[in-house]
Amino acid sequence: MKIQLPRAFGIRQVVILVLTVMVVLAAAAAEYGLLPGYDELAESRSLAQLRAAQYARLSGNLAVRNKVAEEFQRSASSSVWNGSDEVALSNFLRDLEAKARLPGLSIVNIKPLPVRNEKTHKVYSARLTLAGRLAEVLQFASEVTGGQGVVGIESFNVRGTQKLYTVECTLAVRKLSLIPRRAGTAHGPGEILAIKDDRRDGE
Amino acid sequence: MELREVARDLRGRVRSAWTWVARLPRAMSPSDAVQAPSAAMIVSQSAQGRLHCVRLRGSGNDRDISCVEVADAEQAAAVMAGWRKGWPVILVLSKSHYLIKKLSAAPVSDEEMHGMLELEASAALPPQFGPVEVSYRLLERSDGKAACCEVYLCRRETVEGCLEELAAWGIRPDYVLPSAVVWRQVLGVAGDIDLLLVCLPDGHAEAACLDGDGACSVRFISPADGEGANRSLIECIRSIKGRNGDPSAVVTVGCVGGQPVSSWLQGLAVLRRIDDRFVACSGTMDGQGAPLSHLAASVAASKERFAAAWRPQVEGIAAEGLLHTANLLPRRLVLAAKARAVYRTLAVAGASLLLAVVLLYSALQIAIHRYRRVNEDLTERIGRIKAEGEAVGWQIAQLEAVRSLRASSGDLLEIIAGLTEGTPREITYSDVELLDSGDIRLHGQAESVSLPFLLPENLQKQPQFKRVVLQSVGQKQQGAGSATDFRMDCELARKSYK
Repeated sequence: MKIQLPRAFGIRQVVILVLTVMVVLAAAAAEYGLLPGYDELAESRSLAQLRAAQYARLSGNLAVRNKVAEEFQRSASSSVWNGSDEVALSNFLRDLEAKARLPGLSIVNIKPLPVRNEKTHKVYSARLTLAGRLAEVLQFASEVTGGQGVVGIESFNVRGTQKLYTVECTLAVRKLSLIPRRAGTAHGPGEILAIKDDRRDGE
Repeated sequence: MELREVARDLRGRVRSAWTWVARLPRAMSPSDAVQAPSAAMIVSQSAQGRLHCVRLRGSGNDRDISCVEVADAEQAAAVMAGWRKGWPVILVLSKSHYLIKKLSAAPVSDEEMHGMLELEASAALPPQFGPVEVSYRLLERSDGKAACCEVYLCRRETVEGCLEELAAWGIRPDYVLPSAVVWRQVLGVAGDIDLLLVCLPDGHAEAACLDGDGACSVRFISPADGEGANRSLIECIRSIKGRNGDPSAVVTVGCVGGQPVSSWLQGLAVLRRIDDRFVACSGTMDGQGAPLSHLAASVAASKERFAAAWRPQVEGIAAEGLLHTANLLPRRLVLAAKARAVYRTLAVAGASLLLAVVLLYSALQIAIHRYRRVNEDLTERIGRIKAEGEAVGWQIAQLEAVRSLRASSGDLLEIIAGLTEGTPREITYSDVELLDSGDIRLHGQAESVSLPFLLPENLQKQPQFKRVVLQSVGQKQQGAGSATDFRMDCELARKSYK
């Protein structure tokens, strides 16, 4: 089939027409074929990089699995807690009170602070004011932080009082409770309880 | 102001782009080729319905020349079978088919010259002559003056008839040149020849000579005329002598071709061989020369000799641009050839564009497929270790938190120990504060003003403190005397938990 062009169409017009059509087709090909393809490629590439990084992280985790398990068993297994926040906070305050029962030491004030929920653990905090001799305050701090649980001092303020050899100490104390890993808690469905710690009730 | 400049610049760019587009068809046309084609086939038709084909390949003296006579369509097909598409085919019209006129044209551009000469030449012809094809060769041109041209005119029906005959045998010439263009080249190359006699393959001959202004006059000589042919030749010689103004001058005749020419020259001139291409004769050419029949055999040129005469001609014709200006191919066919060339180029450009798009798209799809495979593979591998790896990661994160908290468990004891160690007896603290950020604020009293200034250096020596800065020192009334009050800031250097 021969295409009959209008009489007014010279070679120049045909050239311009064809070049225009070629530009339009090239633009359409770029818009609907090449650019989406490029975007898809970029997406696939970044996804592959993410997956590779994730795989490297998981492989690295597996490589130190035994060491981590050993360390966890040694230093953190006693801090696993699966109960309610109220019970945990109550236990914490009771423990503080018990350890403050020293001859020259008295609790002036004790105030629980809001529970901070992290992904893998919870932080229970309390602010307490003690009055007594410095040595007893230090003994209290030592006993609180040196026990089985993971306890730290966030901040403190030690002031001298009018009474000789007596100080007033305000302590912000934190206690860590580790959350056992359950299915669906973090990194996607189908995950199983990873930490089977039978001693969590002992906390 | 700037906008105006930009507009002017844009206008200039559009104009240059338009000029480029306007020149595009001509630029894409093969007829503008100035360089000699690497191969060319020169075709001449004989009266017996035969074709004489001279095929040239290569360039300069390395040209490979072959000469073929074609008697039927089968032979023509065999000749064209070895001829690559794109190599030009040149049809040479014998003088019996065209007219030569010398015309002057106003000084115009080359593009307008053809149309102007066509108008002028057509006007000089009788109406019954019919439509003609016009081509030209520029003889002389000087700035601002009329250009002198040798114009070739041929009836359109004659050219189309020749082309139809060739087309019936599958030969489609790209150029149709009048023989005068070719003989002028031959005369130009062999500069010492006054008259060129060419015996055409069909037995006819053409006699060509140059005029004083560079124009070439050609006379067709038919052997059928018998004595008339000889007379025509003598008339040619006499016209040359008349132009020279010396009846006794020696006229050198170059011969290309076969037997008839040599036989006509017998008794007219002394013949001698110049080179492979030409046999020249010289003499007074008045019919008194001694007959030298023994030399006649050497004049009888073979087909190869005829072909050899073409060796430099194609290059010369191409170099002068005569393939374009002297082309008698009907305008319609020239335009069609141009259009074909342009459309072919466009088709190639379009195909290249399409190919580039397809290649790019394919490359993208291949890369995407590859990444998909990698992703699938990684997903599968991650799936195998995810549960266990995440569990270990969970424990690692918890251990990090434990370490971080335990690092602060001994802060109170460490700070009190550091202060006790680094503080002189004359200084006491009334307030020691550790902030969440790890900054320590100290407030205390000293027995003299000078003591607090020594304190930063002492505390800096303790491993628990860094960046110890004394903020203020002042005295205040205390009972009957006074006490020095100071404030100091530092940072806690926490030991990492082990």
